[in-house]
Amino acid sequence: MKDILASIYETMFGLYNQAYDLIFTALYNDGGYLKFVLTWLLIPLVCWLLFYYIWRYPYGRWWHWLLWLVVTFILVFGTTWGVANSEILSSSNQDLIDAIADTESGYEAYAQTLPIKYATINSILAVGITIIYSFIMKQFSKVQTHLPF
Amino acid sequence: MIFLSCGSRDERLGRVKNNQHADKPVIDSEKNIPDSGKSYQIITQSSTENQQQTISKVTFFIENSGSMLGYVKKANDYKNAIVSLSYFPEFDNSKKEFYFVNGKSNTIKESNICLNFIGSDPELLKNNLNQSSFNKYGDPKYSDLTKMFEKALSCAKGNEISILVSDCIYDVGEESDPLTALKIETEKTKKVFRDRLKTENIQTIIIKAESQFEGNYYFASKKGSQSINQKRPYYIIIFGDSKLLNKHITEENISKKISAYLSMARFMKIDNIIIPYQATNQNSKGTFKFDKSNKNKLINAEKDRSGQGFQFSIAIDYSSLPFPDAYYKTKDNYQLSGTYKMLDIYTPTKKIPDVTAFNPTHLITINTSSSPYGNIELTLKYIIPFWITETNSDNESDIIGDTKHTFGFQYLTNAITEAYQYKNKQQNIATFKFEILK
Repeated sequence: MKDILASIYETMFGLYNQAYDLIFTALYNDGGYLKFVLTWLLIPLVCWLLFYYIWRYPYGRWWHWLLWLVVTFILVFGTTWGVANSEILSSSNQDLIDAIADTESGYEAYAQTLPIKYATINSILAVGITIIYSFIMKQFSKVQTHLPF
Repeated sequence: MIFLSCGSRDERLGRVKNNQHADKPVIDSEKNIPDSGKSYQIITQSSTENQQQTISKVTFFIENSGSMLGYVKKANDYKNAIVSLSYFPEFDNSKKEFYFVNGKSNTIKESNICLNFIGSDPELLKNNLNQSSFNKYGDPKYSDLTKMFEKALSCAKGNEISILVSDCIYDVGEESDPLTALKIETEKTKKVFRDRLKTENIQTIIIKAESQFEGNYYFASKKGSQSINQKRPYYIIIFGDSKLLNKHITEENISKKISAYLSMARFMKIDNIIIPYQATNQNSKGTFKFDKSNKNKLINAEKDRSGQGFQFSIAIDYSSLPFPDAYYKTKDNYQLSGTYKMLDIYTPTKKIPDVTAFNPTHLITINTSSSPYGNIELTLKYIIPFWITETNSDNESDIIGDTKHTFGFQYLTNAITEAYQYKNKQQNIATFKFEILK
């Protein structure tokens, strides 16, 4: 399971860099990748459950759906950024802490570029899962059956 | 050249039957651990054990047969070296015993090796390093190298070590074919070593040093002797538990203490040596991913797109091995499988962040311009130092001016090497294995 989750980011999106293996090993060992995946799976799920089953406004338009997508995007982006920061730059993994603290290693500069990359990837994945969620949820919604189209 | 018309080496030394029995106070698979934290724990534990290991007793055996008299005529490097060794700082807290050893073990002649206790004070030894003392103790007409080894080896047990100082020239007696006799004699030596290695992990260190020699050189391969006044090599052979010798007897400290030190060689059992290693990204070319569970498995490997092949480095911790740094940095001492070539071996000056389980002492960079995939094996071979073959001589005719060679020396070292090889479960010091996958 861990390998599949790691391969999404490391292989599919090509974020792996052999020169900074400690970061990727820490994300793998300490459950960082699982947190990333849960972020883009669960936040959109909650957002779109609210949209389709709690929001009762009967005149919803396509741009309402789009606006909610933007909100989901921002939430996933922000949450992932926070999780990545915590997992990488504030990691409890002593080897990674030492490598980041070692100014000659280049780990700190590289690590700082990663949260925004993970946030962007997760936001894109969130958009994808949103489309899937929307088509499933609208089938069972009593009000927003016509959205997004 | 003066050739005395004596029969054999025995006769030339004026041997007579001697019943002086002066034996009075005669007194453990390859485990190269890749990367894991487990290996680190083992190393730490081993280091703690090493720290607790001290030498409790050192027994010195100084050969005092006639062939050694030339070393003790005047103050010289030989005397300095032995005295320095007896005051060796690593032996400060060790009990010491000094013996002169000569004579021949011969059941037919009812003679035996003569072991004479000189004392336990280095000052006493120092006062006895002269020709009259050498002549006074035991039977200087004979020397039995195999028996000397047997005695010295028997004193190397637990935390006790023994040191034998000799010219390492086999006394093969009255033989028409001295080289064949030498081979037979070294078979006995081999057995002595094999027997001792059965029960304990005894290491043997041979140190070659030289000193001014003023006296008769007794030929082993032909009749007669030759008076010489020149430098001649002699040998200090140290026996003891491998861990103990690895810790206390290093080339660095021994070369500083022994005047006119030339070289040293270690013979030891090479199983059960833990050498942590790990593939690293250092100096890498091309791309790859480290497998999450085994850092020595590189996956998604691809050659460099600008045609520089595929390259990575191997971090190795040789600190548990006793060989000099030059040994690890000599490319000829390695064998690399497949199409890979060794580019560089060096000591890393900076910490390597991705190597966390151990502190690497060496970094080896390997490269291939062919397909990088498959299993790679890098082997550190157990190679007998070149000086040993260089020291050997099968001809004593040109002894005048020969300051480097010892007759039949390689027969002795071959015997020791073969005894160790027989006991070793592996023939190489270490094999580092890697898997490179697409």
